[in-house]
Amino acid sequence: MSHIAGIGVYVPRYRIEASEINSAWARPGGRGRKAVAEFDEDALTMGIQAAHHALTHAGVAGNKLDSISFASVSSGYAEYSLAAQSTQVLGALVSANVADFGLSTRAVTSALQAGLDGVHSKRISHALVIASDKLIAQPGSSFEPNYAAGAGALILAQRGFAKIEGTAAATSGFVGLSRREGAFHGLIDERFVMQHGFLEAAQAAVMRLQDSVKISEWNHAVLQAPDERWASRLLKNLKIAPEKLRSGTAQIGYAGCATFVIHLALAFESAKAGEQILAVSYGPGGCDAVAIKVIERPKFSPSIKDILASGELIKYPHYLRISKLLRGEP
Amino acid sequence: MTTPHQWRISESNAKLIGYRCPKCSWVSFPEKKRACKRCGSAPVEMMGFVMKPFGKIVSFVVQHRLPEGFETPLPLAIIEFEEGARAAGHIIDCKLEELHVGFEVEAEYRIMYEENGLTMYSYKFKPRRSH
Ligand SMILES: [Zn+2]
Repeated sequence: MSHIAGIGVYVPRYRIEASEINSAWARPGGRGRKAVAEFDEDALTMGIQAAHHALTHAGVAGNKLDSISFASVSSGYAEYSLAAQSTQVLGALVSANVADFGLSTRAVTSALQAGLDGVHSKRISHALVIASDKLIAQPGSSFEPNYAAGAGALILAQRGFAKIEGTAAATSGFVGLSRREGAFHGLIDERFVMQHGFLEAAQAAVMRLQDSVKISEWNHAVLQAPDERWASRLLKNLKIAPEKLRSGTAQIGYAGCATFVIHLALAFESAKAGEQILAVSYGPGGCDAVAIKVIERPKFSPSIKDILASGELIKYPHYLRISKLLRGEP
Repeated sequence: MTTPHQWRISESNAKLIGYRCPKCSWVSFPEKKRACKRCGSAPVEMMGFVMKPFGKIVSFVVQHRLPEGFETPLPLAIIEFEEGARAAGHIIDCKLEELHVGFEVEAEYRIMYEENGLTMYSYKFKPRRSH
């Protein structure tokens, strides 16, 4: 089976508090904060930063990569290969495989699965999986305080600090979200989608995973889904204690594909050797579940917790301006 | 579409490849020169190598009046890489009061501008935080 040899996280410098956004719209309260990308950052630039961190973490040079995959739902292009663009910047050889995954936040686990298959078959010795998103929600929408930006990257190899024990998928075909290019992120009928689009598929995927992998106990749970409340429902249904959830949503918000890797890094940081991580990834139409066994707790410098907790708070007009949501007459 | 000039320097730009003069060790970036600017050797076959993303500010200006599309105030600096190459670049993620000659920076890949619907990327420089 394939291993994870390195993991890297990139979170942009700015944060805005949910209460600051709510107050602009004359709404009370608001919990947590989210990360905000600078005007000159996008899925590609953030993904490259995370990839550099993952390569350093794994102690692998860019020219050792045989495969580079890029998962994102916010590239903004209908045709444009983020994976190919990354290859040159990361110093990978021209012969490296490149693949782009998108159209669903589940793209992160699709990219992971492809990398795992390549490493497992020994066709690939080092695979880089980049997940990066800059989600821009409609100002004033309920998604705005949570939809954020960030990136994560994984190096898959024959050896590493964690072993992928198995994967399972469940695809119901339930359509939870469709979004035209250029439209704001986050258009979802939440309660209905959570029950039929998410919970049923997630539970089916986890059941299938538990059938194929011998698991005594899940020590940590990681979820990539647009709403933190979905996580507590899933854990409750699966009879996993809520304190096992590893999440940075309160510090940096939800960043699509990237959230899967960022939360996984948090789980690694708090895991002990031999512990099992359940990682679930949601996308409209279904879920993927991954079982990961920690061989040795990896070291992070700076710590993932510190990366998520740091940042500089900005006000709502600043946020609108750098997110290109303020448009005036020239 | 990538233009011919962008393509010529895109690889060295993207990978931070510098070119070292075999006679005097002067480093050219991002273009590979046929003549050395320091010792004057010509023709000369400069050797490409990947530079570290670290350097120092040699001089800087803060721009306050720029056409639409630019964030102001925008600091622009001459950076000297550890390997000796010099390049001009935008300073980002930084408070203006922090800036000074000798300030240590690291290169980070960012959006430069958009042209014909295609985003162009290159390095900008932020305060050095990693080692
Ligand atoms: Zn010379």
